[in-house]
Amino acid sequence: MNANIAAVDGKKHTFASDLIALTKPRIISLLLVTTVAPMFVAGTPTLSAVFWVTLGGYLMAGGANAVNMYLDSDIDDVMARTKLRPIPSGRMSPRAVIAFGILIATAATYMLAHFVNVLTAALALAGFYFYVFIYTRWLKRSSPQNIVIGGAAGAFPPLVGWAAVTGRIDLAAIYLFLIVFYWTPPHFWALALNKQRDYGNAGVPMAPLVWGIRETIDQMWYYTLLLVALTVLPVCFGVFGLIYLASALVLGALLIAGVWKVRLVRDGAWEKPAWWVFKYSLLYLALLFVAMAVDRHF
Amino acid sequence: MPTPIAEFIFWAASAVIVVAQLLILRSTRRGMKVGPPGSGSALEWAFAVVPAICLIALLVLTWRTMHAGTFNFDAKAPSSGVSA
Repeated sequence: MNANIAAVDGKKHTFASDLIALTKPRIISLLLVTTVAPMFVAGTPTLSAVFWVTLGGYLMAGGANAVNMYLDSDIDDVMARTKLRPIPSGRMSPRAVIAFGILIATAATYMLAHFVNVLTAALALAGFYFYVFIYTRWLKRSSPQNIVIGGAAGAFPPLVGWAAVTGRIDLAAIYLFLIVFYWTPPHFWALALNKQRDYGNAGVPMAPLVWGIRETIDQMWYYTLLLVALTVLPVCFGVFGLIYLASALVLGALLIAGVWKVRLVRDGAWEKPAWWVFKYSLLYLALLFVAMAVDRHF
Repeated sequence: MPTPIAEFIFWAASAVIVVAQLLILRSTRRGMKVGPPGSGSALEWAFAVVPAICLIALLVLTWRTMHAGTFNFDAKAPSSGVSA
């Protein structure tokens, strides 16, 4: 593999930077927040526990992302957003990418099982398989509800963090899983509203293309209301207190307002408010999980 | 026993969740009708119905946990390197 290949995007790509790009580090940063924060909700983890869960979580998610890039290299090639990735741009061979993905996922499984516990490793591996086989391989190209059911893959990290500290999965952990699960549709449909042409060119049946814009925006609205209601329920059985409740309501109110703005658009100019929802929803989820951890310790 | 505030939050949130879930099911049904041939399959419908059933089960479990007062953070990990 050649190093220092100058790509068409004007950036200098090295072999190392391509390996990092395969893991999709920007996406993983949010996954790690939803992994580590639950550890502090579940208890007071040691520094070594946080280290191994963070490293193992990064490698497992990174491995899943690399395998995803291998499986999706054909459609990455026709989407403006993804055509500069290592495989479609010709900087890495597909075989090298899948080998890298499987290697780091295997390393993550060993790390989590050996240094944390077997349940944590099993849950992380389940997230890997769900993302690769259920989402990427099956649903992504076959159903407009691809990111509804496929969203479960991104909801495994809270279970991983919780299991690392408690060694079990209980009602609170299920709530954290469901919060990410129900956060996913409005988040990704806000992106899909802005990238319809890309998804259309690639033949990915995203909801706006199959159901239409208005139906998708309606669903974004319903999922957002459901999500915000869901976030306050753990307060009822004593998992969280006032700090979290206030944070969930304020953060949720902003998300509801953002999606409502998208819903009000009648002249087709939904792209700007939808993009705001996409960006804010990232912040929303991160801050919500930070609020959980803060609430449990103050 | 849960406090009156907890009871209020539970019923208010549950009402929103049930209504939103029903609207999601209705919207999914509409979307399946306007979609291309094959998009209205039983599997597609199951993708909407199964999470709805799980949510109802969650609400029941939450209600039981609230009234039994059984939730606690006492569990320790059976781990090889972590102490909670």
